[in-house]
Amino acid sequence: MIRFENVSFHYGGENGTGEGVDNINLTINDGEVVVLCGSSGCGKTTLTRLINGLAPHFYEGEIEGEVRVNDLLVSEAELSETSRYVGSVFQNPKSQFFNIDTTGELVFGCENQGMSRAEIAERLARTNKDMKLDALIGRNIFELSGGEKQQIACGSVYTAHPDVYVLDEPSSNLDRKAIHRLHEILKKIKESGKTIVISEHRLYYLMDLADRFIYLDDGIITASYTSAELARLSDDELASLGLRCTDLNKLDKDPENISFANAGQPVVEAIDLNCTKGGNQILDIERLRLPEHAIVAVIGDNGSGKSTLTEALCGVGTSDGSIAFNGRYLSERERASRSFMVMQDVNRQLFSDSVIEEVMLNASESRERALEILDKLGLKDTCERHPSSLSGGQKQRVAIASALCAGKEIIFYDEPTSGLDRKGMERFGEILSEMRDKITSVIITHDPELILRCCTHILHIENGRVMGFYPLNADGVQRVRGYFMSESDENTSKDRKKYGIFGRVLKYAGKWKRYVVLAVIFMVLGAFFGAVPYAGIYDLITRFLDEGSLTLNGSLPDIGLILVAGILYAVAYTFGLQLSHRAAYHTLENIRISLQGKLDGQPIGNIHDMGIGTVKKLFNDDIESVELMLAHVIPEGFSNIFVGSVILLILIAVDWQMALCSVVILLLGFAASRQMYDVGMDKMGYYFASSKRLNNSIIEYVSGMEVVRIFNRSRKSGERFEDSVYKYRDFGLAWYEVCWPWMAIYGSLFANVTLYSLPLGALLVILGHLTLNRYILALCLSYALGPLLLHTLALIGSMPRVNYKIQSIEKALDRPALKCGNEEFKGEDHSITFDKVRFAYKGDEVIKGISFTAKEGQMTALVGESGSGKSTIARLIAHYYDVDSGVIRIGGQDINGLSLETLGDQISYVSQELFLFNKSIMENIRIGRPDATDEEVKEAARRAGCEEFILSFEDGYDTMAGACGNKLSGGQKQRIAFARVLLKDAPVIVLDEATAFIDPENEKKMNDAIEEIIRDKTVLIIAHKLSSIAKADKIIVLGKGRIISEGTHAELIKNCEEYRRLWTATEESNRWILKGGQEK
Amino acid sequence: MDLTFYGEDVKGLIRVDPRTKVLIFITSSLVCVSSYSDIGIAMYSVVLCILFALCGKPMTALKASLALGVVLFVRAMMGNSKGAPEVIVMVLTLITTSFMFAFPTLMSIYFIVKTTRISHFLSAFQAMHVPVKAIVPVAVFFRFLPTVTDEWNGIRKAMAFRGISLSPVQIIVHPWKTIEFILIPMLFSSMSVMEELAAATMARGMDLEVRRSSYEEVKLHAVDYLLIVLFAAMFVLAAVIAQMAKEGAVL
Amino acid sequence: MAKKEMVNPATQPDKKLRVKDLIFAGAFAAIYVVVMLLIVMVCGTVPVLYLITPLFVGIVCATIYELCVLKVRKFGAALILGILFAVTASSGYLPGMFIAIGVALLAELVILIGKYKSKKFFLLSYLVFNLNMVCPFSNLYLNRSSFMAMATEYYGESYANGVAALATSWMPFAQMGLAVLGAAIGVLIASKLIKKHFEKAGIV
Repeated sequence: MIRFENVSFHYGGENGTGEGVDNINLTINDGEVVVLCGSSGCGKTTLTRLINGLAPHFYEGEIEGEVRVNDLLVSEAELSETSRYVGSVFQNPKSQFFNIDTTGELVFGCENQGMSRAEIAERLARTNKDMKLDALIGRNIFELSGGEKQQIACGSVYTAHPDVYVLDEPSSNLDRKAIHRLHEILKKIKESGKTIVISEHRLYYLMDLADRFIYLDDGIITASYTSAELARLSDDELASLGLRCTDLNKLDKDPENISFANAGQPVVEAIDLNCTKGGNQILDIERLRLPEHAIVAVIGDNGSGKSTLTEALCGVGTSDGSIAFNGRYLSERERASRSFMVMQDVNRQLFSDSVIEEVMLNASESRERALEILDKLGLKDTCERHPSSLSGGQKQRVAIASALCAGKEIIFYDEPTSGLDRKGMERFGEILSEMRDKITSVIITHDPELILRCCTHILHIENGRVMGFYPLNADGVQRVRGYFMSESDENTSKDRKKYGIFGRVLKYAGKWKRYVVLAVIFMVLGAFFGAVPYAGIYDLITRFLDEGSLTLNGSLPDIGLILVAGILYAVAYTFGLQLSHRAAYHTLENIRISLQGKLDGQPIGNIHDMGIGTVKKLFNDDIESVELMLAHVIPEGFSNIFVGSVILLILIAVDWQMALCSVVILLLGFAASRQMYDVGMDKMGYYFASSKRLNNSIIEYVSGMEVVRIFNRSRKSGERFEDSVYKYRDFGLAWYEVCWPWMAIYGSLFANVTLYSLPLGALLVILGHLTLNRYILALCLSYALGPLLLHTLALIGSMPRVNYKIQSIEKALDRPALKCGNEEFKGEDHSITFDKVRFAYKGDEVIKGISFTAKEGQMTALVGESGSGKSTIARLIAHYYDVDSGVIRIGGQDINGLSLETLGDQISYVSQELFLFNKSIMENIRIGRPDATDEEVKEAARRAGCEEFILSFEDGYDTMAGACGNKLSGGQKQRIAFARVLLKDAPVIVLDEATAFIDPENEKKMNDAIEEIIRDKTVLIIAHKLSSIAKADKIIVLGKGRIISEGTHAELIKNCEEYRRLWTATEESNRWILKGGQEK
Repeated sequence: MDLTFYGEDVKGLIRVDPRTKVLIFITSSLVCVSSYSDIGIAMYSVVLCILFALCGKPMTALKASLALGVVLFVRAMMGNSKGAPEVIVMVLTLITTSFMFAFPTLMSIYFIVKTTRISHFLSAFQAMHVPVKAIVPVAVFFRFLPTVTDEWNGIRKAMAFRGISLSPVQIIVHPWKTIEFILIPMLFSSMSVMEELAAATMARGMDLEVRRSSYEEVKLHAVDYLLIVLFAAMFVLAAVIAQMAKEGAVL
Repeated sequence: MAKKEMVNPATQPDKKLRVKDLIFAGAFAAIYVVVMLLIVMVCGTVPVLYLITPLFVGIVCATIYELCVLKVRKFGAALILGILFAVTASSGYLPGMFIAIGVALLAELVILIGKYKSKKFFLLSYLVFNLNMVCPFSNLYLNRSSFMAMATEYYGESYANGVAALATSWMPFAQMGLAVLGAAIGVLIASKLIKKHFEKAGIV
């Protein structure tokens, strides 16, 4: 129990602003959840500080009255005493943890209380279980996302088991999923009977948890609401209280603001934007255009690459790709000078000692104009104050003012409204709208209220890719709301492991790693033997110089040594190569297998997006390039470097001055090659993007040739092809152009090490510091060194390409896999339910919040114009794609929980396109149920009305489908599909009716077959022709991704205009067909 | 610049107690200071490299020992060619000698940093009854290093937008301005984090007067005793060798 | 209803270091060290500049030091900063580390003379404190004799003399002088910045 008795507190001392709270009388009972709300500076944070004792023990000030938690007088007790009863979570995830590792942080509170180790261990285990923290244990906190940090903060408090939880704006820095998780955690804490006090601006996520909302105004409690009472307040009433919305469903866009029509020319254009950090691809964007005069909201979950994208756009983050402002491609520095970013941590960008100086720093506007701007932003009174003494919202506006005065064209904002109250948020929105004429704004935000208040476009980023870019019109509002309301709480932040290029490949090698190591050893041996002949030569020379002449007998041992070394060299080298190749090809196999595994888990849509060309290139060409790396780069490169070093060491032993000279030369060479590697890496992105495009356009060109010729469009299609050929050439040339000079430099340096050490050695010999035979040996060694290093460098030079290919292999399939569980099917019946389902395909939303139920034993028909989303619904049921939000259920069970196999057992999906395998017709039907007997197959074929035409073939059921594929009409193919379905006998039938193939003669047979199939099943028919579904139990009329109306045929004919229109159209076409039939 | 110290020894064959590591550090640096015998230092270096490898960082050990080997080799071989310019000789001698003498000390520090989690390190000292007063600043220091580097990276970006350049020319022309532009945002931003950190820490019951417990198990194991004995013995040995070398020189 | 005036902890003379003070000292030490490392990294590319880092570090880091001691205003702040600095900057050489700690203690004593009130002594103390920037180099100076002995052994008398000429005995004093000079300039900047920014913003 928490009791405030006539409490007043005013800040004094260092933070002395005189603000505070007055005459607080408040009792919070055990197990209550109380939300403190009100505008910024109303004193809600002060109240939380009074409960956890930070006021007055940390934030100094004057206090009157008593604050008690249970029986403890908080205002007098030591903080450590209070902390036993009160646990606190703060606003900023970045600053509230004391330890570097998560485990240490979770037990921090317990340690402070001096608990025994066993006790702590037990509590820690419980926290992990209750809070689902397993994935976060034993990690570096600095690597966690803001949401995860906040989870750890809650977990840490939970481990200490306080009676009271005090949270100060815990959701400020969280994305939608993290807020959802926070909600779950709070729910758990509430269930365990603890008291929770939260001070918060965002209210919507607390509506179902809170028992009371205490409203503060200027330090005084002025009202108290229950959830229900607060929910009843209209938006205007909330606005007058300065409170944010209580229900996201009620949020709507201000109709006055829908004026994005004048958003015209692209002001920012990015092409082939790639960004890699620590060997991980963060961004992969082919094309992005942000229109002029737009206010673009960038949404997406934490870790999806939003910040990386904006930083790349405004020129402070490195990235590959070309970025244009106002149609001109600019360098990073130019972009930084023409854009501005208001950072989340605005303290970092305030440099001066007064607001006006801050604004005038490197400004292009006059002082008068600056004052005007400040006035507009409501900062006139603060002109002479120090920026750091302002409130968070004011600091932000100072930053905006400085951008305006510097004449920037585009301003980026990183979560500008985290921690702003309603007024602050609205004010910010107004400022953006006012600036719109001159300045384009791009806002990273998790705040739906801000988006709906002022934004004109939404850019949705997920996993480093653009998921959608759409204007915020009525549809867009629906879509963005759907995004924020979706109840997903899985964690998206990945534990990004850093792999170097070698580690990246070797992790696939598995047990073949041993072979790589062995290969390296043999290669080193081989290279060693390759160096031995020099010793022999040295011996020969020495003796020649000493004795003046050489005898055959005397030279024999040396010649023998050289020969033996040569043979051993060949043997070891060959053996090493053999081993490395064996390892390489087995690794390739492993990579392909893992790639295939990933491909299987992908939604079919993703694979289509990639294009067959890309997939083929991945499996063939890109993976082949790994062979070079494993079989050559690693063993040969390693052994060459090793032997090179050994030679260098010997050179040092022979004469360190000559060695030093060689080292200096080599270092210069390495610097040059390093430079080449760097610039080569930079350009590699372009190079491969254009090669990818070339690849795709070849395929398009060839596969489209038929159509092109028929419609005589060859010029245009050819142009595209040519264009990509030229681009590829240009990029290739550009790459060589930047690399070539460096190649030449290091090539000449390495090849001619001797050239530089020769005169030095000669000088030393003349001065008598070096004997002649040593000089000659040193020269020999230098000769040996050059080719060795050149060879190595050739290998190293190929590394960027190999690295890029490996990366492209990995990133191609790192898109989120289809969400599949492995639950058993345990639905109550076999009805299908859509619950607020939204789905976007290639950035366009095609299903916009659809809910319906198809009951068991009934026939439900979906009708609508083409493009209304009918077929997409069928594919979603078959789980070809994941929905973006909402749930699809079978018998009450979420289909995401089922494996594809389990789902497949429940559903028969007949799509429009039918694929016949190149097997006999018998086998093709048997695919429906592989263990069916021949008799059963024939029975099914009979019921589907296939038998007649099958028997008309020469070989009957044994006819190869490939051979008769062309003989089968569309209708016949479809009936074979029906036979499959009949054989499979799944309880749910989804039928995407193929209309294209149907002729009147077939139609009756088809309908008979359908009658046969749908008996006692849940049937969903996607009907393109209405006549066949007139007697359906329920007809759902779709239009543009929404349900327009539903009911029976009779009802719809009466009530639904769209349906009437569709019906008439069908009738007409029917007549037309009939007429055609008569004419025949 | 990345100053996150997140050491771990999960993959190691042995786990060494942080206190033993500190002892190793002290004897190592003492040997470096007091004994100028190559043998003593080489001995220490080799043992340290082996220790590194055993604690799950074989690659680090390999690299370090290679570097040491090369330096010793170069030192040994420098006598065999005369007549080089004095400056080059001196610089080379300076580099190799400093490297050799600093090697054991640096390796032992690196050993602590690379294989010890900070919380484990602190628990060990808490177990040794080192007052919390001494532990807190150290813990905060390590906790804050990444924060400061993060701030610095942010400030550099902010500077790019404001047209503040950090080029050498700019620094020489406007030295005072540059200092101000670096320090002011860094200090203001860090101080607000500091303040919040202090508040959060105190609200969670950190108090110098109250005895803390520690979750991390800290106990000296057989390995630790073995290492303590080993390093003590090597220390004595190195001292004896140095002494003998001195007498030899006198004689 | 009990009406009570809480004793304001700020006005109460509190000489003991609290958790808050320790956290501040540790955090400022981190800032100090990062800035120092930045300077050393920039200067390290040019050998001559490397030798005069004490000057640069003094100029830049003075403000950080002053803020730290002014914010804590108790015995120990400078010492903690000094110890953490010593451990990171001169841990490669144990005597150097101890000298650095000794220097920090001296600086602390200077503040103590000013009774933790006099701003002058706060500022003055940095002149002493910055001497610790010489400590990382102490390896070279303190080892000079043995270094020379070794050089003689390996390269003969003439080399050793050359070495001695370059690593002359005035070098450490020159560095110390630079350190004090840098600190003096730094302190001037610090007092200006503190007045201009931190006092204005109401932080110190």
